[in-house]
Amino acid sequence: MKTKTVHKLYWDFEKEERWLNEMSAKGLNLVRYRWGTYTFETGAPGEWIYRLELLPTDVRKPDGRQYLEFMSEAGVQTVATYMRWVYFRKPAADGPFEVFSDLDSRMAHYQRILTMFASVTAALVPITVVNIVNVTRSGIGLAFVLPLFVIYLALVATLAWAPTLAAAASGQNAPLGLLLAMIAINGLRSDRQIMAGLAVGAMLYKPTLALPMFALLVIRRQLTALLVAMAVAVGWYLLGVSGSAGDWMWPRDWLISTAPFFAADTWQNVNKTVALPGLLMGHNVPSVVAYGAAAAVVVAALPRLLRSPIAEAGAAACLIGIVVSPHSIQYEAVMVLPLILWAAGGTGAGIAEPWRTRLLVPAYLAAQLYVLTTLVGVSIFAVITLAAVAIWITGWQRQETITAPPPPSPLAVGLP
Amino acid sequence: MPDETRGPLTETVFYVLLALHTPLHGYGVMKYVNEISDGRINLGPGTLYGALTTLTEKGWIAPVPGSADDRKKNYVVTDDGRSIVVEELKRLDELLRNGRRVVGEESR
Repeated sequence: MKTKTVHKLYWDFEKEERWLNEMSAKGLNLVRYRWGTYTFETGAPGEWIYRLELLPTDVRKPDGRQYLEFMSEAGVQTVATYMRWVYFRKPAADGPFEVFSDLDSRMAHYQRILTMFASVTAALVPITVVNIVNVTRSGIGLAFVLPLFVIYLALVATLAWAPTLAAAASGQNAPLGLLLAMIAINGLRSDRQIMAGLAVGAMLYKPTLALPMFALLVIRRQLTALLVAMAVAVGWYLLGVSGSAGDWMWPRDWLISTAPFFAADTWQNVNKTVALPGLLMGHNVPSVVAYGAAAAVVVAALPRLLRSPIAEAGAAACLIGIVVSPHSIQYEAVMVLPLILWAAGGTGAGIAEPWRTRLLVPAYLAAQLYVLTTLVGVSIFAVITLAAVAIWITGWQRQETITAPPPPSPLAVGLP
Repeated sequence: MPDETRGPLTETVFYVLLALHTPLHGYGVMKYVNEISDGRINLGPGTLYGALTTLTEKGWIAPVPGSADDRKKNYVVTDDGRSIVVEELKRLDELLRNGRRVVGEESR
């Protein structure tokens, strides 16, 4: 059977559906979809009717799997799944095929799509607000700041879009973690310890995100913030006790239940991982060596985590946590944003030109490469997060600020 | 339990409840509804799945226990579901009676 590949990107699923059915009418049947790449097989014209649906959950979760099973009992084939999107088809000989046959369910589906797009956009809002506040505080004339700010917004929007979309579209909550991390970093920078502590404590909803921040509070002796965060942790613990009907030992069972994530899940997600251990194990490195390498990253980062300005250390800690965690995949790469924002001056600890530009240009270009993920077999998010950590640890980007500060260039003054 | 604030049943819900007066699985419901409506209604599987989930949550239908030899899950209407249908029939009867009375006998 002859196959044909088409690269195309759609924002409007109904247009996409129409196009797939036009192709099917010509005898080109979709058999695979991934990252904007459609693979068609030639067959009899008009043999299949294609339909698209955005599911409420991830297709790999029990609810999602159950639904696909239900569809197959109804004679509907699942051609491809892409995040929460599913490509269905049914033989045209079976009669007309619509996933939704009444107005209520069709509207619920539109609502679901709208919510998905809205949540992606909403994740970008807090980041923007934090930076508007920083820019206006700097007291520089708006006329001067505005053009820079527009460039900056475009930069953040482009960089943030891919991982935030990946997170929201697969029903993940990484953007929430990002928001809390930004609040924590901002709290530490302005020495609002209680705010920082509350945010770090709230991040415990996902330990991968919270543990690096806890470690940072310890090594940087942010004692008030640490106490507040620990108080929040106790709150979480008590919530867990009441949620598990009075089981005071629930963390033990929880740890046991997370065990599969450290092995099977890591293997399954090797092509999506952004973490060093996962990447290494994916290329047949023994797990001991892989975790050893992760530990080495932490040790290498320690001196800088101890000495650099607290906002910078906070941003770096978020990212290092992701890079050394045994289980972090694409969408968790949103945690690269604090470090990028810091580099752009957004967390208030700006770096001097020309290094800012030199750092941002490759980061900006690299972020666009995520579409190449499938071609290179290693997630481009992984390349970005690992590269960002490496750049930060080696201090490659700011030799000038460490030695005698150079006379400030207009650009360096421009960003706070 | 009949709920005073509940509005009219949608066509989908009404026909799913009718279909499940005999235990059926999803595809069986689709076929049955298509047949008794003389092909007018072609239930979308997404719509049907949503309806089965909501009606189970409301307790108007329930999965049939022990239909294990068949991998497909069978559903059947509950007592609550039956009384909902009876209430709805009363309402539909009233609509028909009043409609015929006002518009006249030519509609027969």
